[in-house]
Amino acid sequence: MSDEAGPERDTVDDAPKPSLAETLLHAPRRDDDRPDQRWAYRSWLLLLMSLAVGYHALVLLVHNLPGKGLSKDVHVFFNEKLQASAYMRATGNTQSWAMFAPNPHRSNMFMKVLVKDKDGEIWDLAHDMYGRREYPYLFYSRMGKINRRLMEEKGYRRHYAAWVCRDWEMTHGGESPDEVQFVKMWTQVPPPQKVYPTMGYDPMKLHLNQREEETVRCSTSYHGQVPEDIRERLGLPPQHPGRFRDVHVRTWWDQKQAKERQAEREQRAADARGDDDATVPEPVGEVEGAKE
Amino acid sequence: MGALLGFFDEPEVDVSAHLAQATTLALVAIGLVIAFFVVRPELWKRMLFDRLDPRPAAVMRIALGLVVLWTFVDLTRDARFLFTDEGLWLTKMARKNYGGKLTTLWDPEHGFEHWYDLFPVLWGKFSILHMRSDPTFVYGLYGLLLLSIVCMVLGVFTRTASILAWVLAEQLYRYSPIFYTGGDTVVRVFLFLGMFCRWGEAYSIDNWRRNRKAILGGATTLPPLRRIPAWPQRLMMLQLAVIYCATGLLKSGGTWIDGTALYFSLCLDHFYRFPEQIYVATFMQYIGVLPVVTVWVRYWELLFPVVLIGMAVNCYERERRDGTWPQAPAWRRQLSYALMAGALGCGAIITGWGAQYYIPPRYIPWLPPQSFFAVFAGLAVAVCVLAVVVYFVVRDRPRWHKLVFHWLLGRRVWLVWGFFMHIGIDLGMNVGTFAEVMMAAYFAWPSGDEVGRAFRYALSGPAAPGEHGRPVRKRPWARRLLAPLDRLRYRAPGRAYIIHHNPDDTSVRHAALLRLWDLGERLRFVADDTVPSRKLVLEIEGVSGREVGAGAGRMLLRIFPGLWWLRPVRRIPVLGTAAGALAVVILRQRP
Repeated sequence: MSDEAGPERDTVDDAPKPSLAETLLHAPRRDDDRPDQRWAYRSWLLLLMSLAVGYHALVLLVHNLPGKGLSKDVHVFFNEKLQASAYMRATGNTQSWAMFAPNPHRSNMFMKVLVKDKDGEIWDLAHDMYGRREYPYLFYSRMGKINRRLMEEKGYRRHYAAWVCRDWEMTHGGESPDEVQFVKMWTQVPPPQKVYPTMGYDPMKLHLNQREEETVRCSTSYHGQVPEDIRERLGLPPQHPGRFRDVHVRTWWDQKQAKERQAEREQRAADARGDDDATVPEPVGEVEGAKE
Repeated sequence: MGALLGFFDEPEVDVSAHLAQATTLALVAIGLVIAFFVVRPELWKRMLFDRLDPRPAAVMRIALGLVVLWTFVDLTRDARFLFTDEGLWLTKMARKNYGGKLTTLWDPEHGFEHWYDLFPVLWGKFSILHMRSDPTFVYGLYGLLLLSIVCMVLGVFTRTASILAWVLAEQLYRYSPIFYTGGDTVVRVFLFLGMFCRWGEAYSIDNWRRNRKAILGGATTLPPLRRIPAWPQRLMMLQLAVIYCATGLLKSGGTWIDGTALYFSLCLDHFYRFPEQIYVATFMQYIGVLPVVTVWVRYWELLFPVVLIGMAVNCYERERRDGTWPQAPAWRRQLSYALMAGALGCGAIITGWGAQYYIPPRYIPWLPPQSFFAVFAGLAVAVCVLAVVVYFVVRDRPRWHKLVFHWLLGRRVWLVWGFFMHIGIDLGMNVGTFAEVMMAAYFAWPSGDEVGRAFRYALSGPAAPGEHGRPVRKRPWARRLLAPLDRLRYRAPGRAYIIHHNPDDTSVRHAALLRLWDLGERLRFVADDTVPSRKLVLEIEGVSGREVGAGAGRMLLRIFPGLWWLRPVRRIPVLGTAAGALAVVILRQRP
């Protein structure tokens, strides 16, 4: 064996060793740092990663199934048994892909935002983009998106109105407006058959529909006033205490306090019941009037 | 599949008669698919735990990072309004509405009751901004986010930067969802997957520093590419397929059937780039282009997962030919086929029920509604059987093989169409960075060789007629008409850039550093005793004279994609020299 190997080794040794320039500058670059290793991980890690990857893939697929109809209970199963919904929420993977679905909008919708100040004068804040946008429209307008969302999701309106109240206050020397009014505006995109004769239309010549929606009063709206700490930060004059309408959030501390108060009340009640209990002998020294 | 039919644009349908059975069958199907991979673990490993060339992931890191950076830079205009307590939400209101368990488990004055309360809070929709959102804090966090994205793009401490980018982006996104667009959701899901991807192993400063250290530290060959686990990229592919398929399924309204959806979308005041586009959209609708594209877009999206099947089949075909496909004994193969057939059978039955409940009989008036279940379940089985039959018929017929596997099921058709679709959307409509982030996600799909070829292509030039396979077109009209296509198709390697280096080891090692930047493979090296040690001396093939130092650095800006950011100033007299000098410093050469 060694006899056979000897000459071979000699041959290798005799071969001219490539220069550094040849290996570094001219030899092709290898495309694998560990050619002897087929898989990315060792067995135990591979098993662990398989579980994690399989879970993510499965949850992703189920999450994107409709939450109603025939797949409703599959959702329920995955959410209850496999915490699918919680996982997607915690990892920021919650998703919905209903863009232009089931149909794109066929009307242009805008929410006009008006403010009535202390003197009763009404101001249009120009938050809607009807006739206001500059073209070409290059930079995406988040405010436009939010304006549309006010139309579709009514729950946002009172928060938006509260901000309008605060913003007015912050930019008008601390003076709060009276109320915020929402006016819904929309134009109908004509179907193609209607505009074939003119091969198009001017969007500003479409009939503009308008309808008054909510009115929110700044003084009675939650967070419709600038709180003291922000007034101080912005250098606004202080307001009388109690003006700021805060929301109540019940934290563990409040619950603990409530429990303690409840326990105290129960204790007092128990004590009171004890005082009235005829079966308990009264301590002699504590008999009313005994000290006298 | 049947359950997916639930997207049909119908009001709530009472499916209670088959809900329990459908659920059981769906779970059984999932179980059978899992059992398939338990029986064939080598396929699971081949699919997810292979080691991939890091270059596509690296390109994706740069592309995605730039889009995310653009998204957040653009969002700075509204940062005060959206994320600070001087904007839409006071901290407490945001916490109350979106804080999840933080609302009760954390008290602004007393903090957490127990240290371990942090875990349920983190397992919810936690954002630090729900605890504090004054402008100073928010802007600080925002700045850190932008910095971490820049680091991610450049590949500086890539893994840490990627994790930080996701964590910080989530802090902003979770504060309130009022401003979300589809693009933001795509950013979120891909940033999440990006944390697990070792996408800093190529085209990054980390990689440059590591390789530089190895070369200057005594390596005798160029350090090889460090391969990375496949699974994050596979999940990215799955995610992209899910996005397209889901959005295709959801587009179930009448406008997507009658072909007016794109017309309406392009005419919406909120999206068009110019109001004059309305005239173009009307004309395109009139001549029938938009209706065709509308229907095509919907079905392309719906059927996008086919490309995943195509990738698997093409991979099998390639490795079967090479003899590298993972082998398994016959009994495991047969059992796995049975399991997969069972899963597809379950799917077929659910499809039948889906059709029975969700397809309005008016769509198929010639078929009695009672037979919907049998017909559609049978059709689903037939499609599967037909796919297998087509495969066996086509696999040994080269022409058909190419048509079906290479084109019909190949990535290039699906992704190139997607690319043009997104470009079209972006030109006609402003929907934020949705189109860009989707296109950035395409880089999870190519192979390392394809990325290498793309760089070589980008750094090549059009071949002259008669060279490199470019035909000589005799007819003048054909010559003129096909010239642009011929120039794109037939390419000649660009001029070689010849580096003259001193033969000593130090010079060779420093010259070798240049190869790390040479993605178009344009460099040649010539030992030259007359060149001082480590001096950068460059000669361009076919051009007389040599460039030295900053001049050479300036020339290299053309062929090193990593330095293309300096390229715009290359021709400006003083700035060009400064850029060349900077390049020399970056490349660790002697000026």
